[in-house]
Amino acid sequence: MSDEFDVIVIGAGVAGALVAWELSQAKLRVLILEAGQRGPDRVDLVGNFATASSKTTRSPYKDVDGDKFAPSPEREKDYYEQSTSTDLFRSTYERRVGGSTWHWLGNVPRFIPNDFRMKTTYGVGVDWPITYDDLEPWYCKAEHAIGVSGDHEELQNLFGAYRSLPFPMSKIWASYSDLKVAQAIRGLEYDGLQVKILSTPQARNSQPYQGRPLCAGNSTCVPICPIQAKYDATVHIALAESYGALLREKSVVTRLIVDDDMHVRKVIYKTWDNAEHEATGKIIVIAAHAIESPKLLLMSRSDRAPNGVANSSGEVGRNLMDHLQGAGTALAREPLFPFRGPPTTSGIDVFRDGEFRHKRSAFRMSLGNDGWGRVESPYDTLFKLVKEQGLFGERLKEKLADRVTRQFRISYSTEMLPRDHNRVTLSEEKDALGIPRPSIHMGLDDYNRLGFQKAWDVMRAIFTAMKADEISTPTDPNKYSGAGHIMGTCRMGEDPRRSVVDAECRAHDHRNLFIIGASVFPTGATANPTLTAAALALRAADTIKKQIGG
Amino acid sequence: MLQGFIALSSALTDEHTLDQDLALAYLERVRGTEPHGQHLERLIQVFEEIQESGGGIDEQIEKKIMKDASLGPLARQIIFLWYTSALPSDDGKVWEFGSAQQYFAALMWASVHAHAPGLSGGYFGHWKYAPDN
Repeated sequence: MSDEFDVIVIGAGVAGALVAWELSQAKLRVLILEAGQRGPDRVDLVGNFATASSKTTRSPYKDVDGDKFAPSPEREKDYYEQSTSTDLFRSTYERRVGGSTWHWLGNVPRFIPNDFRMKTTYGVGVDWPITYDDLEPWYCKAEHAIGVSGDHEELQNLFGAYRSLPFPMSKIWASYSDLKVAQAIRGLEYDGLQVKILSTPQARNSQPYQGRPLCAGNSTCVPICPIQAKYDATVHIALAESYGALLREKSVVTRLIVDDDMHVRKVIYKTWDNAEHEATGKIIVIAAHAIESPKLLLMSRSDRAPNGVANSSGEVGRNLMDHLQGAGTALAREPLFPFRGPPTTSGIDVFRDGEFRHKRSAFRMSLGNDGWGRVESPYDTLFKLVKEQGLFGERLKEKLADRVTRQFRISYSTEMLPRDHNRVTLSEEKDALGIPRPSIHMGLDDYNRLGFQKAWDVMRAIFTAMKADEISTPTDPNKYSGAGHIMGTCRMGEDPRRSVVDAECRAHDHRNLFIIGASVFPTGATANPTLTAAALALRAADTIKKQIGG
Repeated sequence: MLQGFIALSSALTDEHTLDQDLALAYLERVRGTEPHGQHLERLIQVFEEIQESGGGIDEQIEKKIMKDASLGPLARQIIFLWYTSALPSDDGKVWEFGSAQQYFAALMWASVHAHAPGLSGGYFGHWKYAPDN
C-alpha cells in the first residue's frame, strides 16, 4: 500500500526545504524524501573536519554508508563519469538533509536585470520567461526567510537591480584587509570603470536571527559553520516538520511513474537497505539539485515518456552550467591579517554587466580573507619555512607571521553560456543501490577563456595599485576551478520545445510536476545561485498552493 | 622525559607555556613515527646538554640538532606537531591530524594573529580591526 500525500518533495536542500515549509504551513500533507542522512550532529561534523587530513568541502560529511548509498562527488573524477569531456566539470554537491547549504559559503547576491535577458540585450544565451521585476518581491521574501545581512543603500540599483525592501539584517562588516585594500586602490579605474569594493550580501547573521547566533568569525563557513550563524536548509526542514511535514531520510528516489493523463503521482524510492517503496502525491516537486534532478527524470523513461519524464523537448540534462573560477595572489606591503572573519566579506561587482557580454564572460570578484587559499595554505608556508629553510624558534615564528599575515588573494567567478552539448546523462556505471551514476560532458568556450584573461588583468591592476610583491595570476586559459554552482539542466522557458519547465517551474509535459532549484536557470549570470533558487522556490510554492487549492 | 620534551619543544617553537597533556600526547605521537621516532631520547639528551653547556642555545640547536641526519627530521616533526597538531608527509602534501582537541590547540594560528579555523576569533566584527593578540 503506498503512502498518499498532497505533495511529495524530492530533495531536502534549500529549495525543497523552503517549498516544504511553505506548503506544510498551508496545512498540506507533505512528504520530503531525502537520499542522504540527517546526522551526525553538528559538533561531530566539526570534529570530522578538525581531524580530516584533507580539509575539503566534504571533509565533515564523509561517511561509510552515506558515501555508498547516496554518494556525493568529492572531486571532478569522483562519482561522475566524464570520459567524453574535453574539459572536466569540477563542481560538487552534498546529499544529506540540508543539502549543499551545509558547506556553502553563504554569499547571496541577486541576479541583475540583464542576466534575465541575455539574448535580447547581448545576442547570446537565452532570455528567461520572467524578468527581474517578476522575481524582485520573491528575492525580498527569500532574504527574510533565510536571513540575509547586507547593505541596502550600497546595493540599491546595482545595474538596475532595485530593492523594494531593506535586508533583514545590516551587513557583515568588512574585514581589516578589505579596508586596507580599498584605501590602496582608491580611484583605480579599469576600462573606464571605477574599481569599487562593495560589501557582499550574505546568509550569515549579523544579529541573532531565527534563534541562531550572530557570526563570531569561526572562518570555516566552508565547509561548516560550527554555530549555525550561517544559514543552512535544516532551518526550514525543522520548520516544515514543526508544521507536520514528514521527512524520510536515506530514501533515494529511483523512478517517477507517469499516468495515462500524463500526471506524475507515484514515486518509487529505495532505502539504504535496498528495499523498494512507493508513495503518491497530488503534486510532485523535484528539488534534487542540478545533477540528480535530470538524472532522475532520465531514469524514469517509459512508454508514456520515451525520452524521460518532462523531456519531450530533449532539454533535460542539457545546458549544464557552473561558474568557472580562478584566483590571483600577492603579498601585501603590510599585514592584512587573514584567517579572521568569514572567508570573504567584500567583492567587486563592476564587471558583472556591460557591452562586452556580446563576446566575453562577465565576472564577479571576491576579496579573500583566507590568505592564498589553496595556492599556498599556512600549512604549506610553515612546511617551506621549516623543511626547506630550516627555521625554528623565534625566527620561524617571525617569518611565518610576516608572510602569512600579508598573503592576499582575489578570486573571480565567470559566467558560462548555456550550451546543449554541456550535459548530464546516465552512465553505464552504477552505484551501490544499482542506480546509474551521472555521466557528464563539458567543454569550455572562448567566451569563458576571454573572461578569464580579462579577470587576470584586472587583478594585476589591483595588486599593482596595492604595490604588492609576488604577484601571481593564472596564465592558462584552459584551467579553472568549479564554484559548486550547478545550474541549467531543467531550464525554464516559454517554448515547450526548448525548455523543461514553464515560468512557474511547472513541467511543460506534466501539469502536476514542479522542478525547483538552480537546475531551472536558463542562464547562470555571475551571482551565486542560491538566493535566486530560493526566490524561485518560494514563488513556485505560491503557485502550488493556488493550484492544489483550486 | 616529559619535562625534557617540553623544554625542547619550547626552544623549537619559542612558546613558553605549553600544555602538559598536549605535550604527553605529542611525545607519544612523535615517538611512534618512523624512522626517526626511536631517536627521541637521544634528542632530548642532546638538548639537555645544550642547555647545560651555557653557550648560545639557538646556534647549538642549529648545529647539533637541526643539521643532524636523524635528530633534525625528528625536531622538525615536533615543530609541525605543536604548530599544526599534524604530521606532514615527506613532500608536505598530506597532513595526518590527531584529535579534534589537538587541532584546536595548534599554535600556528596565534602566531599569525588568527585562530584555528572552526574556533571563533571573538565578537561579531572583530575582523574589522587589527588583532589584539
